[in-house]
Amino acid sequence: MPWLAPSPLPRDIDTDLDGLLASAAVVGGEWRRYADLILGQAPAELAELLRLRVAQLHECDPAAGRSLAELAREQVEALAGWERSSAFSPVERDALAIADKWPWRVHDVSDGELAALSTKLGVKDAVALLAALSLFDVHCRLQVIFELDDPKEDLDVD
Amino acid sequence: MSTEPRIPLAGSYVGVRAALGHLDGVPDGLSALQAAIWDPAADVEPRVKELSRLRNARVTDCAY
Repeated sequence: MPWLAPSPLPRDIDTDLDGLLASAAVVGGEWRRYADLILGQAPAELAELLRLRVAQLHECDPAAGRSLAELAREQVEALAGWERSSAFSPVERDALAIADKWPWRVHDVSDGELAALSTKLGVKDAVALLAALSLFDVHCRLQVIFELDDPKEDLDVD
Repeated sequence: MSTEPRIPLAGSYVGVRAALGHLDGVPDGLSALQAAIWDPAADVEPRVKELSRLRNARVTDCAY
């Protein structure tokens, strides 16, 4: 049972995240099912906000992943400087504060930050959102390590 | 950081499933994913996978 297709990835597959997972046989299929289970239970707009923020932190292309919801343009434009912006609600700010620590400083997430999020969202939504954060982090790491870009960019020809 | 669970434990689950157990079907989904990853028929040697697992736990300073 192959874990991954022979390296380098074959050029006749879309070298986006879905293409990579499709090349990973059983593990890729189970990963996609696991991810869909979590994302299907996470609050969509909040999850999309965190998906875009984690992509910013990893400097990876959010267009290479699946969009979960449509956000207000004002929020998308303000996301890089969210701490100084009034475009985000208190619960969005709580979630973004945790997301900012997720890739490199997860041990710094405090009891108070978790309590605030689970109080405002409820335990189930908070767990779903944090599990989704883990998925976004992994997806960005896979994008970076396999150099997966937005497949639409491949259509650009000089 | 207190020693109290940050969220109520879900059912009789332990470990990470005690949190993920709040989500429908997710603990079973995690089990299926882990079974695929650790399937001895996979073409990555179990020893390599275990080394990677331990090293990842070490560098992220979490329990293994």
